[in-house]
Parts: sequence; structure tokens; C-alpha cells
Amino acid sequence: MIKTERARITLACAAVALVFTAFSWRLVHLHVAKHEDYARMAAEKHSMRQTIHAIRGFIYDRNGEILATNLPVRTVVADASHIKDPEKLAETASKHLAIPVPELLEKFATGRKYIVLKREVPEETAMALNREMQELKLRGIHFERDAIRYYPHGEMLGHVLGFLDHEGKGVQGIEMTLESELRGKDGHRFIERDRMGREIVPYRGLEQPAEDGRNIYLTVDLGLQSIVEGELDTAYRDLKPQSATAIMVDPKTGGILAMATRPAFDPNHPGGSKPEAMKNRAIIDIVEPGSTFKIVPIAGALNEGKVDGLSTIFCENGRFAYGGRTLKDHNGYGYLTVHDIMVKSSNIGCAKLAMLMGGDKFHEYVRAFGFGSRLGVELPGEVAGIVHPPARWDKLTITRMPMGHSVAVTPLQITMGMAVIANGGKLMKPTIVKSMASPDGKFVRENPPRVIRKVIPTTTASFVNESLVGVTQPGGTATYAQVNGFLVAGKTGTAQKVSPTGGYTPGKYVVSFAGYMPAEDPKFVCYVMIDDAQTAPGLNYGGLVAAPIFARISEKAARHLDLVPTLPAMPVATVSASAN
Amino acid sequence: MNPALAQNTENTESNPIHIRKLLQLGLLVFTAAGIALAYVYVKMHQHTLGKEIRITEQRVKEVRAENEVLLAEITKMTSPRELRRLVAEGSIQLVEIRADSIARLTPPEQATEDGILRTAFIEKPTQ
Repeated sequence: MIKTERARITLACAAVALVFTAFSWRLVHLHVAKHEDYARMAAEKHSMRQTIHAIRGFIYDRNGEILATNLPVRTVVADASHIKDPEKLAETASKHLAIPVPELLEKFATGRKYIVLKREVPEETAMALNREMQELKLRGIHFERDAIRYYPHGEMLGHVLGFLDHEGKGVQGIEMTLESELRGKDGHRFIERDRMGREIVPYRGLEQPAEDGRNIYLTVDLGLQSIVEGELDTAYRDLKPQSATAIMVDPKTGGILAMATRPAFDPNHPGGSKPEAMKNRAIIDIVEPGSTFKIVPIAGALNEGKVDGLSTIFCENGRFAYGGRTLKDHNGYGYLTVHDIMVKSSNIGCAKLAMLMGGDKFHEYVRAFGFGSRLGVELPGEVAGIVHPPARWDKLTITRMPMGHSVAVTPLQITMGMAVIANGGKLMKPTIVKSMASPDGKFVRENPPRVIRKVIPTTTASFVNESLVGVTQPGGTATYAQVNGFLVAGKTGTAQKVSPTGGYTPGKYVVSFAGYMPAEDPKFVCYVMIDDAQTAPGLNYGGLVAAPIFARISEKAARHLDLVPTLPAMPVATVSASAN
Repeated sequence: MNPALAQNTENTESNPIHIRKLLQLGLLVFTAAGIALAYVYVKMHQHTLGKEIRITEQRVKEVRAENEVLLAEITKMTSPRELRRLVAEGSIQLVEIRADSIARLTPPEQATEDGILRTAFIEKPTQ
């Protein structure tokens, strides 16, 4: 009997102990093992998830001038359940938000808890409304933080910077290429609010901090960009071309110092611009380069040993019958040295140099100079241009391509091709991003200059350089490219416009000048291209239209860069101190 | 005194006050109350601090926003494009820099009869 009772008691105790053990185990499991999960679930149930917006990185020029920044704005939101006096609130808000009172009252009457009244309200307007609401003890309107991208220089550098779409995503230019670096990563926190809608800070829950976007430093110099754009604006206004493009690069690093295109657009208001104005023609448009391309056959023939500095080429007195067509020079020339072929811009001389090399070899040099392939600049939409392989050439191509026809290149490719001569024979990768840095400055990633390939040796580059200097001297085709106090090297280009229906458009020309300065130790290469300038007939030449623009840009750039003149200064008029 | 009564008084069980226990209990209650009050105080203080943090954070955000707005305005006002516009409409004027107003870290090379002239160096004006 006693034994049975004891057994029952033991059993009951064991059962109770087991139950409590189970409860204890469950308790420990919930509190320890499942703590994170349940804490998150509780936080999600009782609190709201507040997004901590990452700040989009700024874009600066090489000297730290702001090119793109964020402007804080507010989204004004109403919570109808908190509104006690809708008439008075509507009247107050109407003054600041420029929304009619009846429209506001209609919105309040919906009774919804989240009514967007107006987006992108300037910070000061929102603050003024908030102050007045506090003075009048009104409630029911909240201000959510937001930001819009702002480009303080307006149209300047618009094609390079790009802009953002309505979701804040880059759709063109650097904003698009470096979207992932600039955007950053939003964070969040769980918060609880009091009945007035204010956050109760002690109950602030789990927090994932935002990672702000990286700041981007461009190779562009705002001062040089301003000079280039100023001259391009003048040319666009005076010459009324279809388009005008200018690029300036540092030949030693490949860094783009300035890049501009007209027509242009204001990235602050991209919606109001025509698509044509939004094209970055420096990398998207392809044109027949004309005579600026002559650096290729001359450098190639010299480098291959087909000619040397003393060689002469018979230029057929200006008319060369080949392949059933006649190739002409602007003037009739007999025997010309290689130097003079460049200076006089002889089409026949260049054609013969290419023929000496042979089609395959000439094509190799064309490709080696960077034509026919993307150069890899950090901008979206760069095209490769058109350089057909010799197998697809017709009989005339060997005579046309050396003078910059039967080939299509981008303005950037021509600029970098000229930089090959300027820097002693290296094709540099064009770059527009100098470095990236985290907002706190702890992380910095430099973008070092990169040599794509060595195209020609320094001796060959030096010879071509001397020829290009001759182009800007008396007797050359680009005397208007001269800059007081400096030796300028460069080459003009005048190419008939290709018609969309095939062949060429009569009377329409793409004129250009690609040059660098000082020729002894070039600090910049500048390319100017004017598409279909409205000039007097017979004056639409690279040497008459584009070269003077180059000279004005270069003169101002020399002052900006504080270059030491290498030539005796020509007499210039000085400003009288007694101007009164 | 009645002896019987006296004996009865002596035999009555006493009900003494246990001061020590009372003090212990009092201390316990006092400590508990103190802890409770301290908890309430800390909680209140926490809320007050939270409110101050919220206001300070709000102010920091406002100042930062104002700073960004002003920075953007300054950048716009000093933009080369804007300055050119102001010069063109005559709102500002360019004044020639006097040679004696230029301070250089590296001295300029002097202009010679046939010679080199630093680009920023101002020649003496001719009369």
C-alpha cells in the first residue's frame, strides 16, 4: 500500500518536474536561441521601419570644385486623422505651398493617414510652414526629408555629368556610369512614435546605418571647361553650325581636362531638352575626320622605314588618277618632303605614303592609333567608329582613308590620336575619373594613367611633331592656330558631310583642328570640331573656322595653367593706366 | 500590590518590538522604494534625454540641410558661367590686377626686351 502511494507521488512529482523542465527549456529557447527572431518580430509589430536614406556622393572637378551636389527638399504629407481644424490648416498651408485652399480641403476630407500634398518643397519653405503651424498650434502636416540632385553650373559639363531619373537613378554621363559608387546603400531603424507622431527615442530599435555614396573627383578642370564652353558658345552663336564639339586632354595621362558639345542641355531640367541636345557628341558621333587623320599614314610610313626626313614624294602636280578616279590636292604640288606633305596637307602625298606601306600595314597603324575600337572612357555610349579591314576595301580606299575619308571616328579618338604624337608615341586610355573617396575621406581610390600601347617610337613622334609645328607656321594650313608666345603644333581637317542617303552633301563640311601646346612639352591637346558652319562660301575650312577657336581656347588655357611662354612675345597692346 | 496580581503580571508573555528586524524590513522596503524611484527617475531621465536627442538630431539635420543649400548657392554664384553672365550684364566688373597686388610663392620671371614674360605678370602700362 505504502509502496504504491510512494510510487504515485514519485510519478506525480516526476510529471510535474518534467512539465516544468519542458517549460523552462522552452523559456530558455525563446529567450536565448530565438531572441533575435522574436525581437525583430516584436519590433516589426509594435514599431515602424524608418528608412535612413544614404546620401548620394558628390561630384567634384580635379580641384575640388563642386559639379554635382544634393539639395535638401521636403515632401509635405498630411495625416487627416490628426487634423483638428482643417479650414485654418488649409489656409496656412495654402500660402506656403501655393495650393488652392479648396484643393487642400478636398484632400483632408478623404480622412486618409498619408496624403502627399507636395513634393520637392524647398527646405526654407517647409521650415516656414512648420514654424507658422507651431505658432498657431496646428497639427496634421508632416515633412519628410528628400533630396534632389543639383548641378550648380547648369549647362556646363551637362553631357559629362548626366542627370538622374525620377527614381534617383543615373541615366546619362558619370551619374550613370558610376551609379553604384555614387548611390550608396540605404539603412533603416525601427522606431516607435507617440500620439503626436514624434519618435520615442528610448524605444529606438535595431539600426542598420546607411552607407553614403562615394564622392567622385573628375580629371576635368572647371576653369578650362569654362574657357572651352565659352568659346564654343561664341562659335555656336556666330557660326550657327549643326553642332560644335571640343575636347581637351592631358597627353601624358590621358585625363580629360574639358569636354563640351553644343547644342547642350541643363541637367537640372532635362525634361525640357530635345534628345538631340542631350547627346554627348564627343563620344557618340562618328565623323570622317578629314586631314587630321594624316598623322597616321605619315607616322606609319616613317616608322616602317618606307620614307625618312629627306625622302620626297611626287605629288602629281595636284591630280592623281588612281582606280578610275582622280584624287586632287587643294593646290598642285610636285615633289614634297614628308614634312611638307603634312604642312601642305597633300592628299596625294599621304595616299602615296599609305600605298608604300601597303593596305594591311596601314590598317594596322590605323588600329594602333586607337581608331575602330572603344577607348574605354568612363562615359556611357562610347562608340568604336568604323574602320573596315583591308579585305573589305575597294580600290579607292587606300587613297581615301589616308586623308580621313572612308573611315569614321569619334572626336575623342582623334584627340587621343593626336595625343600619341604629343606624348612621344603612347596611346593613353582616356579617363575622366581621377579618384573616388568615401565621405569621411578614409577610403580613396586613385585612377592611375594607363598606357594602352606604344604606337610609335619617340623619334618618329618627334618628327611628326615638327611637321605639325610647320602646319601652324607661315606656309602651313593653320596659321590662325598660332598663340602668342608659344609654339603650337596641330592639323586641320575639312571633310565633306556624309549624306544619310549615301555619298556626300554638297556645300556642307565638318571642319576641325586638332593641336597641342606648347609643342616642345605639350600640356594639353585640344580638338575643335564644327559641323556645318554657316560661313561665306569658300571659307568653311578647318584652318579658317576651327583653328582660330583653338587659338583662343589655347591662349586662355595658357593663362589659366600659368604656362611659361617659350617664344618671344609678339607686341601686344597694353591697357593704359590712365584710362579715365 | 496584590501578590497574586503581581505574580500574574510577571507571568504574562511580553510582545517586544524587534528593532533589528524592523530596521531590516524598513531598510528592505526603503531600498525597494529607492530602487523603484530610481527606476522611475532613470526612465523619466531617459525620456527627457531621448527628447533632447531628437531635438538635437533635428537641429543637426536642419543645419546640415541649410549648409547644403548655402553651399549649392555659393557654388552657383561663383560658377564661371554665372560670373560671365554677371560681367556681361554689368553687375560686376573686372578690374585689372595691379602688379604690386600680386603675391607669388615663386617669383615671376621678369620681362626682358625680347624675352620671356610670365603670363600673369603685368607690364608697366605705356603712357
